[in-house]
Amino acid sequence: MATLMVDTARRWWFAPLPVARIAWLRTFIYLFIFVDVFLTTAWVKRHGQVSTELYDPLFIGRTLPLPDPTSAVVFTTCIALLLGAGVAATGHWPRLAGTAVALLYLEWMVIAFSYGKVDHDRFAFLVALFVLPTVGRAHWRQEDSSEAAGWAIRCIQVSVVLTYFLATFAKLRFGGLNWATGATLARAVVRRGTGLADWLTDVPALLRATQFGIIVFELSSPLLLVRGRVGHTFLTLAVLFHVVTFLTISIIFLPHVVCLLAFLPLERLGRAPALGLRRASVAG
Amino acid sequence: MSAMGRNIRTVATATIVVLLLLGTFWGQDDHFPLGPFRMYSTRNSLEGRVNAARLELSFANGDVVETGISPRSVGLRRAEIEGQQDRFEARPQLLRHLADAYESLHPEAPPIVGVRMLDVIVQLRDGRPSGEPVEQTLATWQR
Repeated sequence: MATLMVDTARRWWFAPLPVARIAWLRTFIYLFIFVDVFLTTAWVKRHGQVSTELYDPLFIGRTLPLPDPTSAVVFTTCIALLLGAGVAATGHWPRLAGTAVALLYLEWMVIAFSYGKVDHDRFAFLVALFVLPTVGRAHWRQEDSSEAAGWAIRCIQVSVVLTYFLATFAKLRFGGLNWATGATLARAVVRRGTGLADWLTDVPALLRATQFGIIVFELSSPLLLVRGRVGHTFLTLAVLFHVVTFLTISIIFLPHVVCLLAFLPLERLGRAPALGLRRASVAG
Repeated sequence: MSAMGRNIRTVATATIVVLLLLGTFWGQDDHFPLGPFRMYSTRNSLEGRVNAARLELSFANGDVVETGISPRSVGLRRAEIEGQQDRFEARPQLLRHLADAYESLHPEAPPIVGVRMLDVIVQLRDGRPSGEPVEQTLATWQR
C-alpha cells in the first residue's frame, strides 16, 4: 500500500510538463527579484546602515561561515544578486546564473531575517529559485514537455500548498486549538489596519468568522493541485485572499503570490503572436 | 531523465519535506527557511492588550520627537525592534545604534542625545479596542 502511494506520488511529481513554462517562470521570478529588492522588500538594504551588534543570525547564519552584514557586505550581495538575476532572466546560462541567484538570495534572506523578525512568505520562492536551475535551457516558445520541467513545477506548486497547509498546524501549535476564537485579526487591524479596515474592529464577530474561514482555506489548500475547475477555483480564492489581506492589513505575501504563477499554463503566452517571439528550435 | 537524475530529485524532495514537517512541529523561526509557518499563529485574548513599540528621540537642539519605527527612520522594521525588545530592555545602551542609524539616514537632522523606547498599549474588551492607548517606557539611553 505504501509502495503504491509512493509510486503514484512519484509518477505525479515527475509527469512531464511544458518546458516553456519554466522559461516563463524564470523570467517572472528573476525579474521579480528586482521588484523585491527595490520596492516591496526594500528595507533589507537598510540593514547595512545598522550596527552589526543588532545582527542576531539565524541558525543557517550561525552554522555556515556567512559574513556579518556590514554595509559593504550588504551592498556587494545586493549587486551580485541583481546581476545574477538579470542574466538568469534572459534565459542564458540557466544553471550557473540560477544557482548563483538561489544562493545569493538565500544570503539576502539571512541578512533580512536576522534582526528579530522572520517573514513566512519566502519558502515557495526559495524552492523555486533552487529548482529552476535544474531544468537546463528552456525557451518561451518551446513546444515539448519534460520530466525535469514537471518535477520543478510540482516542487513549486507543492511548496505553495505546504505554506498554506502547514500554517494551520503552526496556529494550533502556537495559538492553541481555540486560535480561531481569539483576537488575532483584531490585533492585526489595530496595529496595522488600513483605512478600509478600521470598521472591522467594531465587528469582532466578523473577524472571528474570518479566522475560521482562514483555517478552512488553509486545510483545503491541497485542492490547488487538483486539475480543472476545482484547482482553478481554489487558485482564484487564494488570489482573493491575498488581495483582501493587502487591502485590510497592508500585508502581501508577494514572493509567495508570484509562485502561484506555477499553477498557470504560462506556456500559452509563448503562443501569443502579439508577443512576437522568434520561433525556438527545440533546445537541449 | 536518467535514473540517477530521478533518484537525486526524489531524495532531495523527501529530505526537504521531512525537514519542513520537523520544522513545523518542533522548529522555530530560527530554522528559516524550514521553520514553522507561524504568521499570525499566536492567539490574542479577547480581553488582552495590543502593543506597538515607538521611539522618542531627543535632539541636541532641544527637540523631542516621537517617531514610528521603520526602515526609513532607523533602518529596522518595527517588528524587528519588538523581536529584540528583550535585548533592548536588558541592555538599553543598544539604543545608541538606533540613534546612529537615524543620524546616518537623516544627515540634515541635529545630533541625537537620547532615545526612549516605549510601548503603546491598547486594551481589548470582547475583541475590540476600548479606552485610550496607554504608554509605557521600555528602555532609555542618553549619550
